[in-house]
Amino acid sequence: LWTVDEQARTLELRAFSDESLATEFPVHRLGFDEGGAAWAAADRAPIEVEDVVADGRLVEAAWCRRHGLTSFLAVPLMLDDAPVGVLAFYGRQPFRMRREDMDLLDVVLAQSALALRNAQLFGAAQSEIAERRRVEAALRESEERYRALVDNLKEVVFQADARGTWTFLNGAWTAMTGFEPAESLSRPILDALHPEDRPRLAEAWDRLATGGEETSLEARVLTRAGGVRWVEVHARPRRDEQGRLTGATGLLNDITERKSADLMKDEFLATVSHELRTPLAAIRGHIELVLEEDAGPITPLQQQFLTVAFQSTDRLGALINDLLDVSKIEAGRVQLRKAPLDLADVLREVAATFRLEAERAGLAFECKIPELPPVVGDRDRLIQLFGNLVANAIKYTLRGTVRLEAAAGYGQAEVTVTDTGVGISAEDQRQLFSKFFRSRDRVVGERRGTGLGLVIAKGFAEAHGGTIAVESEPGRGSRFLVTLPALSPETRGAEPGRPGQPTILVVDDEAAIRDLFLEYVAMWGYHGVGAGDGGEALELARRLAPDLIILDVLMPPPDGLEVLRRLKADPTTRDIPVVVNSVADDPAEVLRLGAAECLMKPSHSSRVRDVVEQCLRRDRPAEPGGTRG
Amino acid sequence: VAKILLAEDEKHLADMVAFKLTNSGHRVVLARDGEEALALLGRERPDLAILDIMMPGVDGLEVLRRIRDDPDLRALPVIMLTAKGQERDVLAGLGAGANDYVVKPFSLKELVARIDTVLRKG
Repeated sequence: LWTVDEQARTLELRAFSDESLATEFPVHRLGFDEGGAAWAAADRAPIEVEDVVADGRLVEAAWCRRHGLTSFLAVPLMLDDAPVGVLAFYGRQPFRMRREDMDLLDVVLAQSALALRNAQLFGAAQSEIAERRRVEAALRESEERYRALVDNLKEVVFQADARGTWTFLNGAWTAMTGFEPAESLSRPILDALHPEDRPRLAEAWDRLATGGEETSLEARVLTRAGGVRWVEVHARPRRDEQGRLTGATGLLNDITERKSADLMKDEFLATVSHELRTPLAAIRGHIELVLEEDAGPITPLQQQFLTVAFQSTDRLGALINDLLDVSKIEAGRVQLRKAPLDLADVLREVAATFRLEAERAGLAFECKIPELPPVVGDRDRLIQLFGNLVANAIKYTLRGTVRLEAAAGYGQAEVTVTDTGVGISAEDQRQLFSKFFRSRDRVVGERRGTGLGLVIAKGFAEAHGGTIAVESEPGRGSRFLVTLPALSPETRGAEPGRPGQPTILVVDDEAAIRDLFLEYVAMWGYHGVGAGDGGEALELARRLAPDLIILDVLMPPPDGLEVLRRLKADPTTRDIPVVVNSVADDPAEVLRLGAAECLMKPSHSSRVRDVVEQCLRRDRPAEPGGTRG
Repeated sequence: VAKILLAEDEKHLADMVAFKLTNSGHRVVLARDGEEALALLGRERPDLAILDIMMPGVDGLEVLRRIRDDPDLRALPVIMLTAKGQERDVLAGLGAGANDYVVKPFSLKELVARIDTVLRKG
């Protein structure tokens, strides 16, 4: 008995009526094209060979001869018009089947086919059940493995749903907070945190909801005992196919010990610096009293010695301050009091401080500071940064020039401090920004610093999102370059005016004229926003919805008329009154395009003011805001 | 001549500042801590107070707060003495109504100049 696999077009030997014959049967698998039993399957019809040996086509011909078998009959077992098996018979004389033999065989064959199919189905079902059991066991094992892993982790593993409620917490949660996971599940994450830390978590969650890939923050978790544990929260979002947040998965890492170590270090440093400074203040003050002759006259030599002592206390004081700064920089805890500021103004202050010192050292001090894009920064820290660089330049320059320069770069402000001093070798340049680094044989005279100036300069530059770099040639001088990111126009425009104060957008590609108008506008009590080209103007107009626009016509494309056209075509900006400020254009054309008013340059400021106030009154008759003055 | 209350727990510093102020023509009343400063303020009615921030017990900022809460003392000009690194406290001090501050170690000349400025404005 052969079974048939129609897809693979093969037959498989399944059973022999006489097992003793089976052992040496030459083939156990037959292809459809290999003859014998395969013919019956391929042709779906019985096949008879009367003399196997004479025929010679059967692969088992030799086997037949050995057992004295001469005739061969193969009949397919058909079920639903498909062969499921083949019954093969071997005999010592020709079969010569009669009609009734065939009929009987048909009945037997039909039953056999059915039995065969049932046997096959049963086999398949058996192996399917076995497979399912195996998969289930593997799953169970894997789940047990992960559960053991998750339960034995020191870190808290959590999952939350889209509303920010806990949906899973591992056993570490109990160790951390004293609450069982079951007590916390389906409560909001926010409730588990110290009230002061909740806004930060809410903010982080919003970032995930709006497409953030991952978030980490430090927060305090409340414990059952009424205390707190500091944790580092790492969370990744889960999203559906539309990208909507469906929840988050993450870890809570207990950092309480590190936190308290940090706090202790901070306190220690604050205490040490206080304890150092108090006697220093007494030393300095008493020296000053004697030096200033508050305690009676002193000799010139006494004065000279005390001056050295006095200057040394200054250095010691500076060193304490620098050490505090460096420890903050190294801990990544530089706190900047950031505000938009005019960098040129900061640099001019640095120049004013050091000009005298440079000249006392016999150096020329040059300062070239153009108008710079505004930056966001901590004024005192920036003064310290550039002060350190200039002080260093003076310190290491015997003769020649120290130059403080600045330039507006692409999206940033660039400040350079150049000297004609002793320079820095390539090897020293590599270590230049590390603590207490001083090049050998480079100290000039008595002008010593703390050895921390450049570390601090680098730390502060980076805390501002900027960079610092050095170029130098020994014997020729050095050049330090600091870049600071400029305040982008978006951020500038986002500075809000006072509530109820009308906003006026001033569009002019010439900075000087734009600034002049912005100054007028501020003087008249309005909130002014500048745009340097047509594209920026359209963008700001849409985003800020100003109360009025003052528009220059002659600009690189899109020019003023094009901007006017687009403003009037956009429903969000159509109703903003536009005052066109133009040189020689046709006022009638400008008005036809929808301008509220057309001024001819050069226009007198009082005339501009009248027009602006008229337009604002016309626009919002109920509000007196625009008519003050 | 102004009468100045100086609250400073470090004796050497207090004596030193007192010496300079006396030499500059002022009268000085010394308080060794915040508690004593508060007691002396009512009794001595000074023209100006110099308060060290870091004092045991009632600190300088607390003394300043009580001065500003007291209708009789509210107008008293106050200069704070502070250590670098306490700028945050200094800002708090200015918020609570300090007129000026100097950072330790400070120059006595500068302190005298600031006292004169504050007194002139007052």
